Amino acid sequence: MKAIVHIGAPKTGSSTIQEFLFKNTNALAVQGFRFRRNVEGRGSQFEYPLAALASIGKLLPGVEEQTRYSSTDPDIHKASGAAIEAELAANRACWTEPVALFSSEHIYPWMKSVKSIKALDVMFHRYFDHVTYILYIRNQDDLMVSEYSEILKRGSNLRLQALIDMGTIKLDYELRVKLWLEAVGRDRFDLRLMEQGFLQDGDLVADYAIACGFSLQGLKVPPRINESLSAPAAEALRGFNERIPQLLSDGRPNPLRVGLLDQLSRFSPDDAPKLALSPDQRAQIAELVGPGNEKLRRVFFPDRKSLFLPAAERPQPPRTEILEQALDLATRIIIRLRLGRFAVLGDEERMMAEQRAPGGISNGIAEEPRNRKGRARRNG
Amino acid sequence: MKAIVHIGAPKTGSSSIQAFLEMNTKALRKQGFRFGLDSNTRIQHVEVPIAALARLGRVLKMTDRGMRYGAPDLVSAQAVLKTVTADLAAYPGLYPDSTLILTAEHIMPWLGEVDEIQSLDAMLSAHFDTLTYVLYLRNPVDMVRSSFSERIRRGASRTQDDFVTLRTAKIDQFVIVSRWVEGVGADRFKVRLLEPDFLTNGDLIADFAGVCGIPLAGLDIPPRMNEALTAEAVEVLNLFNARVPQIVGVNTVNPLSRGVINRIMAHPQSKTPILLTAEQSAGIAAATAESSEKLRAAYFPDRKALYIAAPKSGVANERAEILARALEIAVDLFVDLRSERWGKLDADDLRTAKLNDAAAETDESDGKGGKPGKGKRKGRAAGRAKAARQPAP
Repeated sequence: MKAIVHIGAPKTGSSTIQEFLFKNTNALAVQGFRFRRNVEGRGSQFEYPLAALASIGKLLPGVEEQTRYSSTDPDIHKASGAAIEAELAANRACWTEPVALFSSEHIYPWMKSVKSIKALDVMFHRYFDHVTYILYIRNQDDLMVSEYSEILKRGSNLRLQALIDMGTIKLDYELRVKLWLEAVGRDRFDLRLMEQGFLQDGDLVADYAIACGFSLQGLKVPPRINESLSAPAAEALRGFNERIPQLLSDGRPNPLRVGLLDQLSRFSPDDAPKLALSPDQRAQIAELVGPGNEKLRRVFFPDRKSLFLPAAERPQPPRTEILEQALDLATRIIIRLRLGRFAVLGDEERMMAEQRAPGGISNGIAEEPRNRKGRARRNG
Repeated sequence: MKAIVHIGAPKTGSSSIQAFLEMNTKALRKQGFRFGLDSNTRIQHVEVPIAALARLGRVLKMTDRGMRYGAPDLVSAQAVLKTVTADLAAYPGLYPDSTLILTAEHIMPWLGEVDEIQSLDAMLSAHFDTLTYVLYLRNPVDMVRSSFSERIRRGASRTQDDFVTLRTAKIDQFVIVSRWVEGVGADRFKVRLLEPDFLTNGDLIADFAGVCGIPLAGLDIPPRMNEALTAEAVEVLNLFNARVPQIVGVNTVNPLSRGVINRIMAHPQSKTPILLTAEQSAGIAAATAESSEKLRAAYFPDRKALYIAAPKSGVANERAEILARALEIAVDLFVDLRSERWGKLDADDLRTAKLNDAAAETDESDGKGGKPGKGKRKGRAAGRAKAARQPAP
């Protein structure tokens, strides 16, 4: 049996691909392609890279990810990995289709060394005869904006410029692609561009279908999901994140923030300005990624003039206009709360809810109680 | 019988004068002054100008104000007239040795025509043989700045620029004074300037006491009252007011608005004074210069200029910073409301609560279960808010 593993990269339509796979599980099986969602409600199959890392005794990168995925303890982490692989083995024993499909945008950011990529490859090879990998990459200007939206959804209070300056978003695809080439080889690694002119019919799902070898006929193609926040919704959410962590210190959702993202997205007008880079920010990113992009073009796409076409420039309204619209969104939510149209907290939720003192950098997770000593805690 | 009628103008320290009269009511009675009529329910005696208009078969022009003060139509205004007339008629018999002090900064803006001023005078003259009207005037630049705050406080939603443009066009202090002089006579009309070098001891209360003949010894002096909103509060309230009408019925404040101003003003990030831009200040000064000079020449010929003290000014505040602080305030309001630490409405409140654009809310359920992006939404949020804003003051 062959496995095709879609590995992201982040913010390249992975959620849409995963939703497509989930919605068409049965129809794909008829065509000989097996897909199985193991964790209810989760599109990305984070469990496979988690299991691969556990197999070589490596924790997830960073305390935040360890907290989010209940993987701070090495023994628990290892046991989780073993359980995931056991489930894969059991499933594989029942699968009769020629091809198995996997998709996880967690693979790309978590597998940061040849060793860890090889661990993933070895794990899949234990159950499949042939394993190939598909990676989509996109213009880094669009990527940065999309990543910014994503970190806000995950509770960060960073500004866009700070995120760019910190360099935590790995924009240079070439460095990471090199690792993959070394670990799995060029013939098993399919690098694809999320560019209108490159994608089959200009469409990501159609392109993914071609890459995997199945037909879209009779399948349901979902609308784009997990779209970026509008600029006002992003500004408002950043303001909320300043005060309200997304998660409690133990990784559970913070009741104060539950439903907030939905409210902001819902009430952000369709024609609200989109998040966009300033000309200076575009230049800053171009300087950073230009050489790497050119190397990738030469190796993978020698017929293209440039790896990516320049991202569409989006004129930015004045910051005051965005802030005013952000404040309007917040005001609307306040009114809805007072009207009882947005849920207030029950007694137990109030006891659980966490706040943070404004200032500093928030990673979206409430501090451990011992770290909060001396800080103002207004709730509970 | 003697009566003194303090007619404002708005934003000239009327709240401080009223607080002074209220907190010293008993002591003033000993000195022979009575503060208000028995039927007055507010510290400002708004019934008096409502009654003066009702005598002419007129009501307040702005419906929201009529509802706010319990006289939205002629029937209710005439009921107010009946009560006020009865009170005035009874006063000489009940308090034969007491000077009546009435105060309402609403009198000046509500009685804009000479016949309306004369209606007030006729109503009072029927029972009081000595009548004095006191009007304080203030540098128009400061007055507009302060009025902006007051309009937002009272539920309007308007940008500072729009307000300044509209308000400036209506300022003509010389015309106002001329109408009152025509209506009640120059000898009974005292126009005073809210200027440190003009006021007795540079102080409004001392000046008002002097005009009325009240010895201040032994009386309490209130702190400054009705402080202006901060720039951050204006930003939040401007958007809030666009969605939430402050008045939803006769004498009925919208429960959604209840306590919001105090909560916002108490927030530590609510800290920046409202300032006009240099262009706005210059525009007001230029537009009112001729009127001010005519007023000076006619009533204050000894002064070199009508207003000498410089208007309150400072470096123009960066609006983006103010908006960012306003957002912080909104976030904390959210936290307090969601945690039910503040602002919970009961079932009666929820039945009374109203929105300007209730239709926009009808298809939306609780945020926990709904899907984002449902239906097509058009128009920027701020644009929608602007469209819903109330008429100009």
